[in-house]
Amino acid sequence: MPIRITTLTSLLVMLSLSTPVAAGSKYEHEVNDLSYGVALYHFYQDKYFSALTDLMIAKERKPIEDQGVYPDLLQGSLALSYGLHDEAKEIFEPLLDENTAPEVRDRAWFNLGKLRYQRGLLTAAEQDLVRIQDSLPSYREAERLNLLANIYLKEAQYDKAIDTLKAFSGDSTWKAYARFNLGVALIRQNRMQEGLAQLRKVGDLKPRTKELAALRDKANLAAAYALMRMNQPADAIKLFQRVRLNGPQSNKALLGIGWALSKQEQYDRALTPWLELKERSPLDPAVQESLLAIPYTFEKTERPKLALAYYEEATRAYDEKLRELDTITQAVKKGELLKALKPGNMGDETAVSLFRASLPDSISAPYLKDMMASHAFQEAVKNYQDLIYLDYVLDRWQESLPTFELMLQERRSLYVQKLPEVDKNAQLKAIEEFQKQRDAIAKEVRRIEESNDIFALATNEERDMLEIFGDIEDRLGNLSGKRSLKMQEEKYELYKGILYWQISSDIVPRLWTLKKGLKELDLALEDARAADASLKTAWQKAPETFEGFQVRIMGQQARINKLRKAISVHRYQQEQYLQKLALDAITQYRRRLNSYQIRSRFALARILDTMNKAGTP
Amino acid sequence: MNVLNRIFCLVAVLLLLGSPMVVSAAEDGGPTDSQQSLDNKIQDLKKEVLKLNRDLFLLEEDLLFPANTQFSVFVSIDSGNLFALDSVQLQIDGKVVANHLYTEREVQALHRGGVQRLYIGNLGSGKHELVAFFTGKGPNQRDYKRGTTLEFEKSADPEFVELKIIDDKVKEQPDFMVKVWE
Repeated sequence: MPIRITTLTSLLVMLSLSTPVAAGSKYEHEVNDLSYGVALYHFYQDKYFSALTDLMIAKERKPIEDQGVYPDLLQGSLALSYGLHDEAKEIFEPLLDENTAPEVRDRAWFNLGKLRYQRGLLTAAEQDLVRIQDSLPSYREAERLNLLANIYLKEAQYDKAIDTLKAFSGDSTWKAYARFNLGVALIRQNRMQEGLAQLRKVGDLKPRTKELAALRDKANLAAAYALMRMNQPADAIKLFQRVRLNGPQSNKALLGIGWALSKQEQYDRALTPWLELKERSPLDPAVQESLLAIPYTFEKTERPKLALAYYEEATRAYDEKLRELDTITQAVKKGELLKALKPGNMGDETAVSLFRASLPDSISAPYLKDMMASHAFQEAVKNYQDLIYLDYVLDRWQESLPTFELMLQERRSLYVQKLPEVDKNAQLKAIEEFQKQRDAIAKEVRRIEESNDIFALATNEERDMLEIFGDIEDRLGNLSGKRSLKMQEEKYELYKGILYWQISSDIVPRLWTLKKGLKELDLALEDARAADASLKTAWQKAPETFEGFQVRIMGQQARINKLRKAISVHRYQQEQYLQKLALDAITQYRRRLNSYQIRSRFALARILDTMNKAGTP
Repeated sequence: MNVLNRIFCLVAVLLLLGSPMVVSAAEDGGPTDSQQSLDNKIQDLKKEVLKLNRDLFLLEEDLLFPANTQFSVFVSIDSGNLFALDSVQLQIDGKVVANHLYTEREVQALHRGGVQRLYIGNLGSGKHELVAFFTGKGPNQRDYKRGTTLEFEKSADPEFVELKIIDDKVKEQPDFMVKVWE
């Protein structure tokens, strides 16, 4: 009985990255092959390396049967999840054949399209994605449209992106993302009204999930800043106020409200959100900006002493943060971040997905949040952790190889010990002895048949009876002539006749049973000879087999050494790349702080100068 | 442009262009050539290690578990709503050969159709007895321990046995089936 996969959801998640199992397939609910089931077991635990190995071993040993194209789809999805884009492409492409079921073909097109999009091959990705017919499940169809919209945005085909939005059916998170991206892109192109219209739609959503709530905040924030650029601060404030106070965008919203009020020359009111902001985490750029905005407002409202005090506070805060950045830069250069990126357990294949749930435990992490959320950093960490895991796998094999060698040596010694016994041919002699016995039995059966010696086939009970009859016959012979035994002789003849009749009427099945037994004996002897021959061949070939294993062990040892060296080189390069990403982000952060600091110092000098000239103490 | 406007422009640019407003991962911008090249090299390396890993598993199996004595035991769950699996112990011919304590992820993987290879070892041809004890929570959250037994004849071919946890809907109890794969 096939193993049941319980729900449609689990089925859809089954090939989670980008390949939902198509509906209506014969195989989608079933595991009919143990190897396939074992690969799924690892896949469901996000152990892509192990699952791929399972499928590769199955291909080598005994190809998976009775699962249709699903093992291929699984392998393609695994390759994609494991970052083997070229291999995924090679697996998916044959599935685009005209003979493939439409739902499988659509899924292959989708995977290829997404893969090409991720590789930046926009034209090819678009071609793949538009070829898909109508067999994708609705959530995947929404993702397809989002991908298409993103492609059009990247190619500056805004009208096509707008048209794509119309193709979404119902509300979906993907649709909201697509609309948001389009809105931002249109604003970048100075198509302000169109962009605002898209952003407002996202900003008006009633969010069902935290993800959508966060997107709604971003949309309101982006629309509000667009309105500020359009010199509509009053409208902008309304949108800033729709951003949740405790959400990740709240600092930017508070900053924006301040600027919007300031733009309306409501300087004192502008101070309220900025003074609130000032008390928040000094790592946030919006908070850093507020440090400058507050004294600027005091200066603007001709309160130079307050302005001076707040500029001094801002300068001190910037100095402090810049010093912290020096410490962090040194720490990153010394590998502090890399250490935090290493999985706690080297043998944990799934470390990456766990890391994504929270920031790594590094002093630099709070400064690098945006960079760490980026695709480039996440991919680089994934590769880095994969390399660490690969080295761990090879290290374990390297430790196992001496055991293999030992096992081989044991077998060799055993072989040498047993060789004389096998050479004595004891087993073959025993078989020949059995053969002689068999031949003797066959000869006897022939004799019985030819001479119709039915008593030779009597059962033990019948033999006992025959003995009794013999005894009676002797006694009758001894007594004959002494008295009349006619009645006894007749009875004797009758009973003997009955026994003879019983045996003779059963002689055919008895002979058949005997012959059947002989045939079975022949087969058993044949098997024994074959086993003996096979054993001998195995023993003869054993040295060759040992040599084969020895060569394999040595060959794998060489491959392990070579690959571990390559891993070490690539791991170093990947570390350099990760450090570069972090240091670049720190440099950007520093640049912004420097800019604030320069302005703050310049403002300080300017105020002091003005106060000196005015003679203010 | 006054200071306010200069600062405001900085904020606006930061919000609309600089920070990751666009949520789609691919909007980060494509990888650089050198990173692309390193990425390709890592892809190749992963493929090489996968092949080597496969070959080493095959070598291990050929050497330690030759086909004529190879014996494997698998665990799967078919429905299994009446039993929450905690652990399994496997005995062959009265000797404990495997113990496994399940993580939540492993149990989930089994529920979704995955099959766990619990044991691989060697057995001589002839008659053997396999006993598996499953421990967990049965109906009404009660502690539950059940054993299942299989007497079998090991041939000269590799032998695969699947222990399957199923629901006996009539008795409202979990049941444990043993299947020998051909």
